[in-house]
Amino acid sequence: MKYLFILLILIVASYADDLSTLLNSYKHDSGLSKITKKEEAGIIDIYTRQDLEDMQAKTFEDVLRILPGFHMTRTSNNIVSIQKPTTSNVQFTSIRFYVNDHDMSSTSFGSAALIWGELPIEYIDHIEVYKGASSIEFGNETGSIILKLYTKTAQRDNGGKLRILADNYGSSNVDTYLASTLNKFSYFAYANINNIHKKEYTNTYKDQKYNLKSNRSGHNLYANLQYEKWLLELGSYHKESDNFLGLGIHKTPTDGGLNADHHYMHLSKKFNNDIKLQFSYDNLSYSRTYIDPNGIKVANAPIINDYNIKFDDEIFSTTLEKKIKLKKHSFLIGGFYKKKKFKEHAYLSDTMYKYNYNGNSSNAIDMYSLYAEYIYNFNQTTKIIASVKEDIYNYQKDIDSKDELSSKLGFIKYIDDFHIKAFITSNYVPTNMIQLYNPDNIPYKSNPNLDNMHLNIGTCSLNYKKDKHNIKFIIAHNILKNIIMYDPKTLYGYKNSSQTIKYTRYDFKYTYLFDMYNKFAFDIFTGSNSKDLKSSPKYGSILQLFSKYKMFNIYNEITYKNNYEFLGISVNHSINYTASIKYHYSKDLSFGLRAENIFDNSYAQVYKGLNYAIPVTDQKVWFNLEYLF
Amino acid sequence: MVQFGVSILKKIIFLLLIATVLFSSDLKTEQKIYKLIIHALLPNKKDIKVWSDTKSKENLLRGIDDIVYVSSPTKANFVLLSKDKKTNKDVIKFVTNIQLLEAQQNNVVGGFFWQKGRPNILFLRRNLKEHNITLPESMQEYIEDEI
Repeated sequence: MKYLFILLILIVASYADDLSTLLNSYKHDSGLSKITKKEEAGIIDIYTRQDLEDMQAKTFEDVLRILPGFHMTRTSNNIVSIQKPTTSNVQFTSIRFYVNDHDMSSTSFGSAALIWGELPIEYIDHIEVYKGASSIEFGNETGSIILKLYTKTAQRDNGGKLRILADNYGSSNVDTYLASTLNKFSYFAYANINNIHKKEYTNTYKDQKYNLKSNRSGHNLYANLQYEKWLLELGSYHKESDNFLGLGIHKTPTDGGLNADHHYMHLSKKFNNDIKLQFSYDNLSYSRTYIDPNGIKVANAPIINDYNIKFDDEIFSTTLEKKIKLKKHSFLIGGFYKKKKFKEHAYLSDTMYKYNYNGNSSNAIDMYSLYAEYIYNFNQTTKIIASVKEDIYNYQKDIDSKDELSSKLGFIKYIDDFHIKAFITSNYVPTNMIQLYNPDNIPYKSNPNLDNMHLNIGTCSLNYKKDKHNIKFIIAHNILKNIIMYDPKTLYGYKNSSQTIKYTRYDFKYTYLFDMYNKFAFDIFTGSNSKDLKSSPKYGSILQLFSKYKMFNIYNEITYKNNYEFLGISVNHSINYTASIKYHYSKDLSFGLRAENIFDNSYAQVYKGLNYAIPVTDQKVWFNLEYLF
Repeated sequence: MVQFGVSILKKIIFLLLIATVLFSSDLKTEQKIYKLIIHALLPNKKDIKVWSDTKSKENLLRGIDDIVYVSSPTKANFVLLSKDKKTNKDVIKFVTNIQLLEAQQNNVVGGFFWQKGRPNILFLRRNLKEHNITLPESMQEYIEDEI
């Protein structure tokens, strides 16, 4: 009896920790990504809330940088972009960027992903990235890379938070949010203001030095109001940035920049019987000024020095969806209508005002789409997915109506510790307005012959998960037809190529989970294309180590890219080492440091017109303060 | 002496229950937490009868093996509330969200809820006292005088 009592006392002694462990375990097991992820949609990479917090991620860039299978880069006019190994930037039209159910669409650019790449993400709970997808499951416009960002919820984040970030370049980034629920009503409101300074580079032309600046500033506002099954979301993102190299022939900018705004509202209502109705409105404005004293080449104009261009988009959208779940069969049937308006205005001139052009163009699309997905569950370990989507584009003028069919077949199977996923997708990349109305093509005229690019994707992943080990191998094969290329010698600039490009990507990932706080992840990927293009590194690798020691969260990250040569410039191997540490002074107050690109050896991008490659990531140290109230 | 023996016996029963929870892996973490809370609040009850006002929590409680789910709050000695609902004053009430805990702070013994992005457990000292509940030493850190 005495020994039994001592044993039980020992259990009690350890119990306090165990209840705390149970709470932590509950937090870990209840991640919202477990609810939102759609296995049937494609191959997924998930960045959980815990991952983002441990990484001390500030903006979406911090996630894109470690996205397996891609290199994150920036374009010559300072837009964050991604590249598949060996190829140049992925077309923005094939990337769908979502915040919850809202697709950040754009009439001018196809997708507003081009301005959202540096989005401050403190209001984001978790991020899902679907590759080789068709987007049918998400009931919106077509894309092959789906970036789904899910916001924090009032139900879980009752209270508020203040986060202040500052770096050694003098940058600042402040986030705050408030959330509350009351009976059937809840709200979540978020605000960010940022002023980011980046390393300045120079370019010398005719003994004159030109500064290549890439600073940016802006704000991000988001709010949602929920009443029973109604959800209203409001978002407003403002971004101002330098032009970096700009568009000049010799990359010698003296002024200019981007001024972009994207405001949106999204109303959704879930009815009984799994019916969902959504309305949304987007207003996007994108204004650029390029000033280069040594000339900017525009297709049908003499050399100019001052190039001002503005795009205004308005998008109205209505979506209706119904889900039906039977014992072995699941159906998703839906349709949407979108009105996508487009306006373009440009003012071009040379220094002496001998030449100037003031032009406008506009158009609008009525887009109708019907889609359906069917899942047959053979049993608990096997399922087959079939989905189809028909899109109809009716242009207000100049361009003939088009219709496109997308389809997908998928297979998911669990065999003991193995998990197999395979998808075949027949898809297309919608042609955006700046391709149909090439702004470089003066005077403005439409390009009625330009057709959509077609894309067939075969993807297969094999996953082995046992105990603490998780091994994943992915192979993806793309066939691109009808590729849209830029050829300044042709009448319209953009043209369809008769060539077919094949691309194959391989990705191997190993994860070891020591426990819920300590994790090791290693990823190595490569790709090859049938045209022998070598615009970016062929190999990439990511190593992450998440650790916890007492009140400290420690994070280590290494991204590796192999050497490559492009436009006659050789770029060495790069090893970008980032480390962060966060001290939890209390449950509500923490302090952190994040050192980025510690070896000052990050992936460098080659640009046409510049005789050296510029690193994508700066060497920086961020100080981070987080306070929950 | 008899009182001392009963007290020791109570502790042993409670400790055995904890041991059962620790070694039972078939329950979900949330169920394990509720099982611990219920047994800590009702350490002497042989047949614990529970009730909840939402279907999801009903399903959760039904999955806990050594308690009985009853069809009415009047038959229960532990009630788990997610809505602002009037129930028998004598029954032990526990809530699932912070708003209800604030609204019902004179009636409920505590809550298990999400706040500031993390799950929290909180017991109200004065309401525990009203029900003559003494929580084990290991749960003292979750007792607060006010919300």
